[in-house]
Amino acid sequence: MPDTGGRALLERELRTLARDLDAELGELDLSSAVVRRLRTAAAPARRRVPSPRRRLAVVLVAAIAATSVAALPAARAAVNRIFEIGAVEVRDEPPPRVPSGSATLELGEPTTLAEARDHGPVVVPTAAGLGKPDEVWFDGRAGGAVSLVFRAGPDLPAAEHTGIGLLVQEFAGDGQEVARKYLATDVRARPVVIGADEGVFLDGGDHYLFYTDPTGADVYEDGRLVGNALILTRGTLTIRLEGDLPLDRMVAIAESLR
Amino acid sequence: MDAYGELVRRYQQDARRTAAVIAGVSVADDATQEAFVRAHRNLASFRPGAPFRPWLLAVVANVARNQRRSAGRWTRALQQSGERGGRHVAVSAEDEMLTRQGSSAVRAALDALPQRYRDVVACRYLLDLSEAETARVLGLARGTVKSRLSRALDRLEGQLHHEVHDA
Repeated sequence: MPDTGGRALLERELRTLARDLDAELGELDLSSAVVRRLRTAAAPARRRVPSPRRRLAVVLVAAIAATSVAALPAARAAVNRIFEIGAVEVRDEPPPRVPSGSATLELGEPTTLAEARDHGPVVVPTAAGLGKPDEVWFDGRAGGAVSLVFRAGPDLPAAEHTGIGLLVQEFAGDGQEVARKYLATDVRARPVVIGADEGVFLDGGDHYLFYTDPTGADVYEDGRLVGNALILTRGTLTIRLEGDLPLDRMVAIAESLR
Repeated sequence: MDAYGELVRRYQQDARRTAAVIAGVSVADDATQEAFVRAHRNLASFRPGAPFRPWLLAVVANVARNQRRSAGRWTRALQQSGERGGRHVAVSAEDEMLTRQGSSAVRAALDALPQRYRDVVACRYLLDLSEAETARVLGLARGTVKSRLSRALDRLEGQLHHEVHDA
């Protein structure tokens, strides 16, 4: 590669690689095979198309009680209730897989608040003592989620599983038709009112957070153990607050979201 | 269903490239087929009026990522392609020679890049996606695409520069 070509020559060479790739792939028409698979799949029983909210779902799975009833299908069915608020769904059932790194935060890519707002509305807690978020992240999965990280400090104890003070996650969603179902497990789910918004506070047990993939397929990734969480809807946003904080502090922080 | 078959025909080459870039040529067709099936199941999530291509390629990328067994597969596939003498378009013998020499070096440099940089370079130059489309396909913020691409090109240039001088 001559060093006189600079960026333009490099870009040309990169585009040349595309031709190599096409040559390697050759020509192939997949349409018949795809249509055949779709017809075969549709024939016996048409797969249910999940709702748009389901596609955006962040799933909190309470594992403790589920493991005790997993061997009893009838009992499990009886407690397999779902709490759903905005884009968040709470399931009382075993996680799809046990997360290997339960303390790992998978928040997407680091970004800035201004850039995050290019993707949609973002609200920030203004409660006294919080200051500005220490980190802002954007995740294109789950319909595009923005995460605000506040490090632990004198007023924000480090959460047991994540080590951070407060995590605020905001998911784009329709915020309509909030359905409520409650857990009957060690994880308590309490409905709460935050100003004009409604939400649910989860505490009292371990639960896992999973993202579905962007297509809504049942592929779960990046499960991790989470602590107390307050989930609420605000207009088109579904917001999760996570931290080792009591309900009243969580509600106060939620009320300060601007 | 026939209309969907037409969509498959229209976008399959882009989809196969995407899958090959992310998961490797050997699994590209399987991944592409699976992605089209999955996309059909999730058509309800496609916002009418939105561009279809990046939405579809995001599905393809996601399926391909699940099939990616090790980093660097696509560049190795490209190397194999080059070694086998794939079809190339060049306007002159000089261009052809320059391209072949350059492509070899570029492939090696690409192989040395971290995966996060390779994916962005591949989307922009091998798939010819815009920055916005790349962001959509890879699930990144647009600014992240921009900064990663800039760093990736800097690294490639630096590495190629070293190689020339070492040679």
